[in-house]
Amino acid sequence: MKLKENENVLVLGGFLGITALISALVLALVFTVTREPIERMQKKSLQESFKLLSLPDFDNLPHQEAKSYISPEKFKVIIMPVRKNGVLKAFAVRSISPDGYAGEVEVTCGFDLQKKILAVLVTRQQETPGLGSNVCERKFRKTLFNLFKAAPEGLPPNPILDQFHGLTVPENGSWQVKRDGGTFDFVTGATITSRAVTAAVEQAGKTLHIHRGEFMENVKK
Amino acid sequence: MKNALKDMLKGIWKENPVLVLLLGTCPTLATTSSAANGLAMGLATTCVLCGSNLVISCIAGVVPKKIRIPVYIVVIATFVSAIDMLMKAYAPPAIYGALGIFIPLIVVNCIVLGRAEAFASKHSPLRSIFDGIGMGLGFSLALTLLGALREFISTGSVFEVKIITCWTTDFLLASAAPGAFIILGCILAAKNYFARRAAVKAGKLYVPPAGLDCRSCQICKLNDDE
Repeated sequence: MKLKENENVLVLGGFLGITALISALVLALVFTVTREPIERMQKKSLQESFKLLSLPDFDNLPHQEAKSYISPEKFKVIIMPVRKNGVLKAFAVRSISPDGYAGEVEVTCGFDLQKKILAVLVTRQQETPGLGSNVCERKFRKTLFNLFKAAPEGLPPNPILDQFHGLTVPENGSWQVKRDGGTFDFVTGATITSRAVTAAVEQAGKTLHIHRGEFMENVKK
Repeated sequence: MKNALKDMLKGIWKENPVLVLLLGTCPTLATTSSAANGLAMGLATTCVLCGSNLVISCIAGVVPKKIRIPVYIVVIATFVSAIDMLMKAYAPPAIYGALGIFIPLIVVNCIVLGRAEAFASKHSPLRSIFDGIGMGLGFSLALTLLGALREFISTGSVFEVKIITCWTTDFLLASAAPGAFIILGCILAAKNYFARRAAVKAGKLYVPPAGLDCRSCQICKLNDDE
């Protein structure tokens, strides 16, 4: 009997099993080949995001000295000390809000030693392109007039993220968007994303309030 | 060879997957908030379509009829996962960042399964590849058109280049889901209007291409195998 017309359940199951096995083998092969390049790519984008955080000059690898914490609102927060010649200069703080519109929103902030926010970046998000993503992306706007000019240097503007710059997260009380009675602007149609970003920045600051001492002690030694 | 070229061209206009077959409407509406997103999604789908069409037309002779759909899905999912990993490893971060979330969506794109079942399983590998390229390009073209229109109507820019510089407030309807339905509807109406006018001018009755309307869809008839 030809395979194509076969209706025996065992034969059909076996065929499907073999198909799945072959595809698993192919995927395992691709995974092995691409594992290292993927790690390298992620490390590279990590270093590039540090460059954009408006931090003072530094020569350590902040992510290798990172410490993980759970913030008061149960966000996962990672504090990375930024040093030059072993002296603490600033903090890079990564905070993951679980409440984005499409999963987690990861925000990385630069803080100076006085806990003032230097810059806010969204480093990982899956928000709706063209709507929630507008809250998260920093991009220079192109027009027909500057199409062929090189993009300006420095941190591209984003009105929602820029409003945190220069502020200090209060130890008590919370940050909220205007819709919830707070003071921060939000994007209409992307309130959930705006809330998630605001909460992530707030939790980053609060965690830094609590745990900053641990890093300062290292300085004295 | 002449056949192959014909297979390719028909996907772009005569049997355009979005504008005529109306297949894969979900990614069409979901990913076209800007022209660049639409183009990127179209090109990624084209790659998967070529690969899956090739493999499926090679194995179609031995796959038992009863389980052909699960087997095709496994093949398609394998291609999509492999392309996802390869892009993560080698594509520039900016491109993967824009495309990454759409790639898993390709598995459930009707066009890929639709072409596997309706074309690749019945034709030679070479013709299937050309069919994949044509359908993929037609899909990309329609998505880029829809994306460009939505981006322009909502922000006054195309491919992130501001055409009208004094356009400061975004028109959110066009970039949100309801706007996608409205604009796709307008494009379809325009396409049908011109196709019918051309048919009337040529003195013919306008009918949808044979075998392309819902009544003759093969996928819906899985359970009544002759």
